[in-house]
Amino acid sequence: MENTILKDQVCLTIPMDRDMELVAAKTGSVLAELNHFNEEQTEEIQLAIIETCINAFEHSQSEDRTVIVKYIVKADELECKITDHGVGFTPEDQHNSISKRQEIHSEMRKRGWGLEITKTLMDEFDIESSENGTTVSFIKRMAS
Amino acid sequence: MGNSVLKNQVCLTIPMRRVVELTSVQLASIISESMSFNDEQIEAIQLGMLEFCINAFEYSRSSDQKAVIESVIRTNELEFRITDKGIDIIRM
Repeated sequence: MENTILKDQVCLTIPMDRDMELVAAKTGSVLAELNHFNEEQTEEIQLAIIETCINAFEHSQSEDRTVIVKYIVKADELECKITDHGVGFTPEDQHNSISKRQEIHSEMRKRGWGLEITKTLMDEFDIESSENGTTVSFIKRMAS
Repeated sequence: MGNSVLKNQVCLTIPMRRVVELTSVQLASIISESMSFNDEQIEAIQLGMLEFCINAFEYSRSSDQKAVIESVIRTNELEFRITDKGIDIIRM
């Protein structure tokens, strides 16, 4: 059964505060489970949401300190759009950040790979960023 | 210490569709757990959320078929507002 986007869009606004990424992840997890994603895929969706939210919390420099998470539920896929109203970044910023991380000691390498991890886990991934904010969008399709 | 509403407000908009109310129940649950409410209180919050969402789904006759759940987190209390754009209760 095909669902329309407007009818099946869930929208969550969270403050950039401790544990709030878990609220966003749990909401994604419930929607994934309701749409019969398997356990592994549901965990991947949760991880992608957590990493993207933490990225916004830590790097957006948003003045309103909020993140908007839109979950668009379709018959065989779940799309998430995670938006902040921060300062944005360019692909060069991201590249430089990755290069810098590779230079610092191994303990620090554990953090800061949020967008790379998300890109790997999801079927589609996109970033729109400007000086008015950033939206990270990703789609997970149900395993056939 | 009082927290400002804006900083500590979580807002969820859900379509009025069967089982989607579980999203709001889980949201209420995870927020109340993170605030260290006890099990009995968390169950009461879950039940309240479930009932009010289902009530809105079944009786509001809302044209946009959406419910908005606002959670306001304060130091020692959690407030929920569940809003629909349906007909008012008196007209039911």
